[in-house]
Amino acid sequence: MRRLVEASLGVVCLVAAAEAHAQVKLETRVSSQRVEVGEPFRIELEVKDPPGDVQNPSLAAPPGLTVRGRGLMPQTSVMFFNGRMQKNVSYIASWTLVASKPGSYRIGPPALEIDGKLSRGNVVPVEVLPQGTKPRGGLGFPFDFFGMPGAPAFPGFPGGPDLEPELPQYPPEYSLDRAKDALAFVVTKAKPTEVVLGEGLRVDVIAYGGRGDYQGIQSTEPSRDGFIAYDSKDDSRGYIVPIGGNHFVAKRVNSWVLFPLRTGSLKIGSASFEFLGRNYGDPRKGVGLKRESEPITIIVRDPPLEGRPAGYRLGDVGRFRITASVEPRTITEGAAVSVAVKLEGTGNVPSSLPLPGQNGVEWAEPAKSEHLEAIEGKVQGYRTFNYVVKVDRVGSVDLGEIALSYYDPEKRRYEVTRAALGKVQVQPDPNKATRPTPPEEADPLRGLLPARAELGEGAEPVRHLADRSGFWLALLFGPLAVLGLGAATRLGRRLLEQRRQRREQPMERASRELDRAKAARAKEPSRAAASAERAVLLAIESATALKARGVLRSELGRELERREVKPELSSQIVELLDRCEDLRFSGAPPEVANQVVDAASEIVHAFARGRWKS
Amino acid sequence: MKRALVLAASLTFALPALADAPEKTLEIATAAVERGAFDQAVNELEALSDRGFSHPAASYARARAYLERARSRGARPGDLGRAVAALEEYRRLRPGEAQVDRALETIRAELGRRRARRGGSPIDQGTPLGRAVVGLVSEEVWAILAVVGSALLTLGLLLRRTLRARSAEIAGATAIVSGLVLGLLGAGMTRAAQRYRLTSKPAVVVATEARLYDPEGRALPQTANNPNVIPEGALVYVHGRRDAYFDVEWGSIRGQVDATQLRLVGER
Repeated sequence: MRRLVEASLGVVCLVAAAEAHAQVKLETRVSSQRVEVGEPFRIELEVKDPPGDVQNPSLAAPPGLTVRGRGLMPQTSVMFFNGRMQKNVSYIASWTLVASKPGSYRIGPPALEIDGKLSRGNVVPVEVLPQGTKPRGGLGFPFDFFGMPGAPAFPGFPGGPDLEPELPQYPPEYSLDRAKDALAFVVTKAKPTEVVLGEGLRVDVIAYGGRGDYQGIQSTEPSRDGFIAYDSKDDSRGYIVPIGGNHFVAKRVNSWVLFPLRTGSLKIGSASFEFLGRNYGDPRKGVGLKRESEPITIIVRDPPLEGRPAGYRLGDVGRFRITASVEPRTITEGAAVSVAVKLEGTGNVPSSLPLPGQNGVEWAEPAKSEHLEAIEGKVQGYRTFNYVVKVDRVGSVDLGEIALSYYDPEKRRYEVTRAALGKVQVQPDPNKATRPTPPEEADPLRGLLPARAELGEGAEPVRHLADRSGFWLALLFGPLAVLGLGAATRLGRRLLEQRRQRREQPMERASRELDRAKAARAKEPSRAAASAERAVLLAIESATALKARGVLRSELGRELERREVKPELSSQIVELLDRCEDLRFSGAPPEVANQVVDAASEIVHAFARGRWKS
Repeated sequence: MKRALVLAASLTFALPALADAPEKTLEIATAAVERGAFDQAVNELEALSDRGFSHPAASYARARAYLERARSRGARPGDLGRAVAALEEYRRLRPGEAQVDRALETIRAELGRRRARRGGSPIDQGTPLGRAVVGLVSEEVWAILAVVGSALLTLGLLLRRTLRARSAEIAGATAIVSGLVLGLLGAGMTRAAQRYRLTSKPAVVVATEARLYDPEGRALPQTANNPNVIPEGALVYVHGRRDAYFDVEWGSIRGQVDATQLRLVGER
C-alpha cells in the first residue's frame, strides 16, 4: 500500500524524517516542493504501528494556501516472519493544498492525535511559482514521463501534439480487447483464474487513463477473503497501451501473489482508484475521478487424488528442495543433536515439515527463519528450521529422513523432496541409574486400542429395504388386495342382483314375450297371439302401472285414456287384444298372426320409447 | 492378439498386487505405530482412505494411530477427535463391538475432562430426540416391523372376510389392530430413518472446538443451554455444504461450521 502511495503520488520524500515520539514513528512527505499557483499538491503524515487510536489530523495552512481536501486512511500489510503472520498497521493522513499566490511557504507541521496525545510531523517547505513559470519536463520519476498538471501533454492525447509517438513497449498483461470507459477505468486481473488449493496466482490492479497522465490520490484494495497475500514487487511504471484505437496510460496500482486457503469459488472484490490530473477530475479543487474495477472469481480445486503420495498436505504446492545437516554425530544418551533444515523453492513454501518420529527420539519445536519475496507473480525464497532432537536410545540411531510431498502445478504431478538425516552414535549415560525417574501419570487412554493382527471381513455395502423399489407398495399390497377382493365380490353380487331385477321389469318381460311371439308366428299362430297379448299387457303395465288383464275389455279404452294414453293408441290396443283373443281360440292363417305380432310390436315399442302419452 | 496377451499378462500380475496394497499399507501403519512413527502411520492410513478404501480394519488402525499420536509428545490438536471419527466409522461398518464402544466412551470422557480443565462448556447436546428414537433399532429392523405389521393386517382382514365364526372374528379384529399399529409404527420409523440417512451425514468435530455461525456468517449467540461451540469429538449431522462451511445439526441446534473442523464418517 505504501508503494502505491509512493507510485501514484510521485512522492518526493524531500521532507522525510522519522521522529521518535513515545516510540511512535512519524514520516512526513510532500508530492512536490515546487508548484505553481493553482496547482494542487499533497502533504502526507504517516504513522506506523500506532499504540492506540489515531484521529483528528490537523494542518494549519499559512495565508496564501488553501486546504482543499483531507483524509485519514488506515493501511494494513501482512508479513510472514519465522512462519508466523505479522500484521502491520499504519495510518496516513493526507491534505491536498492549492496556493493562490506565489512565494516561499513553510507549511505545518502536520499533526495527529495518537492514543489521545498530539504527535507532530515535520514542517514542509514549499516554493510556489507564478502560473506558467514552472520548469517543464516532469520530475523524472519512472512513470511520470508526462509531468504533472502544467507539464507538456502527451502526443495523441487532448492538448498534445498530433505527431505519432514512438510508444514504449508495454508488458502483455496490460493489453485489453476493449476499453470499459473512454476516459478512465480500473481493471483487476488474475492469472491463472483456476488453481489448485495452495497454488499461487498473480493479481494486478491496473488503472487506465485515456486523457494523458494522471496521479492517484486515493485507492482501495480489493477484498480477498480466503487468500494469503504477498505484496509483489512489480513494475509500477506507466505505459502507453493502445486499446480499441485509443491510447491509454496504464499503471499498475497494486500487485499481489495470492495463495488460496480453501476450495470453491473465491471472490476477489472490486478495487477503486481515484484519478487526478489535468483531464481527470478537478485538480484545482483536489477532487479526483473515482473508478472501480469489477470483482473477479477464482475457482479453487483440490489437487488430483491420482498419484497423491502418502503424507501429502493440502496446500503444499510449488517446487521445493530440502537440505539438512545434523550436528554432532556422536552424543551421550539423553543429550540432543541439532538438525538444521533448509526448505527453499518457489510457491507456497510450507511453514512446517513432516518429521520422522520414532520411539526414543524427541523433536522439539523448531526455531524458524525465512526469506520470502514475491517477484513477477511468484513467491520464492527459503525457510529454515532448526530442531533440537533429544535421543534417549543407545547405539547407532538412524534419524531417518525428512520428506516433503508437494504438487508441482507446472508439471501437474506430485513430487517428493527428501533429505536423509543419517545416523547418530549414542553412548550410554553412566549417570542414568542415579537420576530419579518421574512417576508415571495415570493415562486412561493407554492400551485402549490394542494392535490387531487380523484384517477381518470387510463391510459389504448395505442395500436398505426401504430403498428397494416396491418396498412401500409391498407393504400396502396385502391389505389392499384383501380389501379390493372384498369390494370386487360385493360389486359382482350387486351387479348380478341388478341384472336379475332388471329382467323382472314388465318392459323387459314384454320384450321377451314379443320375441317369443315372433318366433312362434309362422308355425303356431295361436301361441304367437297369446305371447303378443302378454307383451302388450306387460308394456301397458310398465308404462302406466295398469294391470290391464284385470280390466274389462269394454272398460279398457277409457281406463287407458284416463291414464293419458293417446286415444288412437288405446283403440289400437283394444282392437289388437280382441284380435289376439280371436286368434288364440279360433285359429287363423300365419299372415294374420304376422299382422297381430307386428301390431303388438308397434304398440310395445311405442310404450318403450315413451310415445304413448296424449 | 499379441496386445491382448500382453494386457492379460499385465492384469494377471497387477491385480493381486492391487488387492494386496491395503493389507500392506495396514501392516506398514501398524509397524509405524509400534516404533513411534505416528505421523507416517497417519499419512499412510489417510492416503488409503483418500483412495476410497473402506474397511473396518482400516478405520480401527486409523483410530489407533491418532490415539497413540495424541498420547505422544507429537500430539496435534484434533487427534483425539480424529480417533473418535475413525471409531464412529468402525461402529457403522462393524456394529456391536463392545471394545470399540468402550474405547469411544473413554476417549469422549477424556475429551470432556480436558475441556473442563480448560474451562470449556460441559454441555454436549447429544443426539436429537427424533434421531434417538429412530436410532433405537436399525432401519432394517423398522422395515421388517413394517412388513410384519402389513402381513398381520392382511391376515386379520382375510379372517374377517372369509370366516363367520365368532372366534375367527375376534382373532381377525386383534390381528387388524396389532397389524395397523405395527405397520404404521414400522413404516413411519423406516421412512424417518431413510430420510435422516438420505438428507444428512454423520460427522465428528476434529478441532479443539468448532464455532457455530448463522447463514450470514455471524457467530451464533451463546446462551445458558445453547453453547455456540461444538466440542472436539462431538457427533453432528451434516445437511449440506455452502462454500467452506457445513450446515450442521448438533442436538437441537442448527448452524454453519467450518468444513475443515469436521470429518465426515463413512457408512456402509
